[in-house]
Amino acid sequence: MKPAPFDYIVPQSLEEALGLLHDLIAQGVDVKVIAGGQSLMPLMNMRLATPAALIDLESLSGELAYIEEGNGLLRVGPLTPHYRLEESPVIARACPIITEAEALIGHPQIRSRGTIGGSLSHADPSAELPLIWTLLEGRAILATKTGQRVLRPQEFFISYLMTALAPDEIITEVQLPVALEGVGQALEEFSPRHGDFALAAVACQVSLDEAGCLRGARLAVGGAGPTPIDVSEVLEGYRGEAVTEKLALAVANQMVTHLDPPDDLHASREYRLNLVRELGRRAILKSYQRCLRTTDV
Amino acid sequence: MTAIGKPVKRLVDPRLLRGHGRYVADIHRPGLLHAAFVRSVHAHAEIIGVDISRARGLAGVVAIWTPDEVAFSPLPLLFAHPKLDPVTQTPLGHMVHHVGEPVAIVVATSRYRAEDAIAAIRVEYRVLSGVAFLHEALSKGAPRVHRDRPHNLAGEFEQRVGDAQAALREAPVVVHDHFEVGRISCMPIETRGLLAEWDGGLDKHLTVYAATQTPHMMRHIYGQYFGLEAENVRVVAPDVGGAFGAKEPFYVEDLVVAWAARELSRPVVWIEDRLEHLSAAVHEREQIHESAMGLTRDGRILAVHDQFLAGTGAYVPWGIIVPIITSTLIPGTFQVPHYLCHAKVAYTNTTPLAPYRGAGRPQAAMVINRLLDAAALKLGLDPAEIRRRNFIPTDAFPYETGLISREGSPMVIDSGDYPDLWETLLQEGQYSYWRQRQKALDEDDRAIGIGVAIALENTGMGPFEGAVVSVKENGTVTVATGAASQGQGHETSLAQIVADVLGVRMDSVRVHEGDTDAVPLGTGTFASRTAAIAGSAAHGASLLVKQKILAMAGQLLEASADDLDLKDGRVHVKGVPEKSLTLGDLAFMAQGPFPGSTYSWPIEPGLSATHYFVPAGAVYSASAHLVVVEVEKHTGQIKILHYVSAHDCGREINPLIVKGQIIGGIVAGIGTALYEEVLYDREGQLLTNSLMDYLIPGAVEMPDIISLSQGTPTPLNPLGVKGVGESGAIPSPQAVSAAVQDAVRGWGIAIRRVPVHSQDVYLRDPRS
Repeated sequence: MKPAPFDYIVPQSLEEALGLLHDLIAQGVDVKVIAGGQSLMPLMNMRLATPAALIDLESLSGELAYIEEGNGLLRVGPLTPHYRLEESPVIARACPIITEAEALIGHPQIRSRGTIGGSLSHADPSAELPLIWTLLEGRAILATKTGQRVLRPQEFFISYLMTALAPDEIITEVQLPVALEGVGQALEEFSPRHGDFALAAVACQVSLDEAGCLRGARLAVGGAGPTPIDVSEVLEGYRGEAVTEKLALAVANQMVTHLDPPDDLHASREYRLNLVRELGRRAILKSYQRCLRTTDV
Repeated sequence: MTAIGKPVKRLVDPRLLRGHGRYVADIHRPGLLHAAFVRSVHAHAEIIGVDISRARGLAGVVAIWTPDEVAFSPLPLLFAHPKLDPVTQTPLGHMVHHVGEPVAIVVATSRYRAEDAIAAIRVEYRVLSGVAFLHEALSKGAPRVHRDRPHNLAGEFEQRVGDAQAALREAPVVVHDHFEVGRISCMPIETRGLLAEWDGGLDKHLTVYAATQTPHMMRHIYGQYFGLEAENVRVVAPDVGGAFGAKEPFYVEDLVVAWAARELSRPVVWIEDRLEHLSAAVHEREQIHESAMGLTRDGRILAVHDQFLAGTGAYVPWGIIVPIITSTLIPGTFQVPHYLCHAKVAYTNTTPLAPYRGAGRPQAAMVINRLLDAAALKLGLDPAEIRRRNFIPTDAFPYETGLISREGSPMVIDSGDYPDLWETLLQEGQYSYWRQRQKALDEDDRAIGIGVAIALENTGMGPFEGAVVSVKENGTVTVATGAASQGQGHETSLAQIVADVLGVRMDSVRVHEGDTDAVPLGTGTFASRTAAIAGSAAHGASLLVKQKILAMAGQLLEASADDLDLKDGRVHVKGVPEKSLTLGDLAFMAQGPFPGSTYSWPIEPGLSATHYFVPAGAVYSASAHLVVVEVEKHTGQIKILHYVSAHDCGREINPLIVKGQIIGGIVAGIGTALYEEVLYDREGQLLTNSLMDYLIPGAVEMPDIISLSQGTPTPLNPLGVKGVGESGAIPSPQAVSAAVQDAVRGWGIAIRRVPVHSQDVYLRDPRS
């Protein structure tokens, strides 16, 4: 469990990092960027990943670790570690589902090192932040030496641990919409032990119209396919209706017909679908309850 | 002085908690080289060739040995048995029989370099068919695990009392059961590892620092392999970070690393990594049982018949001790007039099995307790009540079971009071309250279940353990024993024993363990034996030292031994405190005056004595557990609401350490019941090859555990002590799985396997 030899490079600025990345790729060097290392280091220690060079972004924390809110947008630096998201009052107000999710991500040691950019780039379909980013239709700014582009979750996630990130590209910002007043969010997940990747997770965000019926409807599932899956269209079909136990169950039942989860060591396909159904039902009702609470205030 | 019985905090903890522990990996030697092993990626294969041409030239690589360059004889058989057809591992042989088996060794200037070389080595295998699933191992036409053996049966034996089959035929009530226990990895925090160094010269001397439970056994095996006298081999177990059985057998790595150090005339260290631990350190538990119990209509046991299949993996690193223990402990705390147990042990192309904390006893507890639960259900009796009707009566001890114990002698239970232990559990554990709450629960998305189980543990086994107790000039008392601590707190509990006998403060007693040079003979630490056996040895040696003190002080103080008292590190004449001597002064004088003078003391020189305690037989601890769980209907989530243990380990030397052992055992048992399992696919590929997939429960998963003590002292040792190290792990898998079963019975779900997972107990949603 020792990594293969690699060159270790510490850039002093984002510009330098992107330049180095560009040049090394051009030379045919198998180079990877590393942030908190919570996914890449185990892969390297088990020699499942053997990059010839690592560019360590930690030195760019001053530049790329931030949480900013403005114009209805939450802008998060990719090197922001989990614990800062967990403790941030800005996040708690502007995107409370992230605060809720952080308590479920790994353990304090992992949250101390792991970053939001790392979590999205690693693209584990069971991970919480990719799910929430999908739920909220966030954006990621990706930069290379020569330019930048903005991707949506559906464009960014390709498959298990695969993203649209080009080898010479780095996420330079993660964006999420600020949760408006009256919006209710909830995350429900199931894992065998605290801190494990979820066997299944469902995230929901709803808002209500003046009659107290469903208006805004977002719904996404994690752990049930190669990427987080946006199933909002199912919930959208019930716009204008009262949110009841019956509605939640109907949506949950309908939602699973969009999924094709795999069998694996820890859960059969059938069990996963059952979990998604139950977690979906709970997430819809919980986000509705939270909606009512914030509306009352 | 009464240090015994006090919940003294462990003397070792301040040192360990401050990071001052010294484990094998902390030991450095000039010129130290690091070993790593190429391991088989196939479950059964012949090694055609190993290409090391690329690896040999890599920076830092010192040596590589493959099956083509070496020829070792197979590892010695430990625990021979007349019914065992043994195959032990051949180090770096041409055949591999499980994934993870060592194929070649690389020695390099660092572990990193060694692993670089491993990545560059190409092994050519001829893959052979094999069998990984226990239930297929003895099927007709099953592939053979070892090509040179006609079948996969490693051994077959019976235990018989009376005529169980006839009694079952005539019994008015009969229940049947079938269940399986999954395979568990020992998983200590510190993995295995050893550092070997040779001292040159004509009289070669080998020193090995090893994370081991059995230093004297290692010394013996090294002596045999290398043709060395015992005094030319020293095995030291430094601080050892847990073992649970994994560090009990002698492994291929233990031999090959020491051998490589000799070949290279350089010290060599190997530290097992977590991936290696999962595939190469022993596993346990895997058994499949078919059982039946016959009873009277009022729930009294007439007969038990159990047939089981136990896996031993590719080899037998510790004989067939585990299934033998299972076969002897099924009747447990109950009177079973007719008993038949038929065991078959099968080889499979998987990691070998050997004792893990509990060693066959949890399986035995499952057999009897599951049968009793089934019988209670059939007879409409409460599970608590049916056990009451069947306990061995309190006045029946010593109780002859009619069985043959693991050491080959008749199995006699020395002492116990099971009815009292049971009532203690039920009352303090609020059994009736929870039964009421279970009935009153009026929610359709969850259910509460209650599980109870009681188990017997044979502890404090032989052959012996020794202790050397010495008083030093400064008044410090040292105790050297052949036991070796892996975190059990021996340094504290043995100090308590010695402090009481010699009338010294506990903190002036130093315990030296795990060093074959400190005491000539030793057995080791396993099978819950140290408190009972090493404790009794330390007690006996202390008494001998006390006699010497009294004889010497009697002469000096002109008093008879009866008139002397030992207190606070001094010996004084009763009622005349000013007439006293310190033990340190006596120790100084007992070394004799200056050279050439005459020794005039009435004792042999040295305030020191050695005593070996040889137990007459095992001493039997008992433990009973009560568990309440809540199961969520739609997710199958299992939550432990309440956990109570009541145990009898005789007299407790240190109740705090006892409690720690009980809780640690229960944590392991909950892991066995709900989380942990080593899984292979049909071809013998290891599926759970990291801690991502082999799930160890953490602190968050653990309930608060209430630990109650009973304590019926054993007559078989001077301290009245019975073992406790494994107790917690024994009834726990059964108590937990029984609680889950109790919760989901109403949903029509039957549990026939541990570990039981949420996905086994959720209710397929009728709403979908």
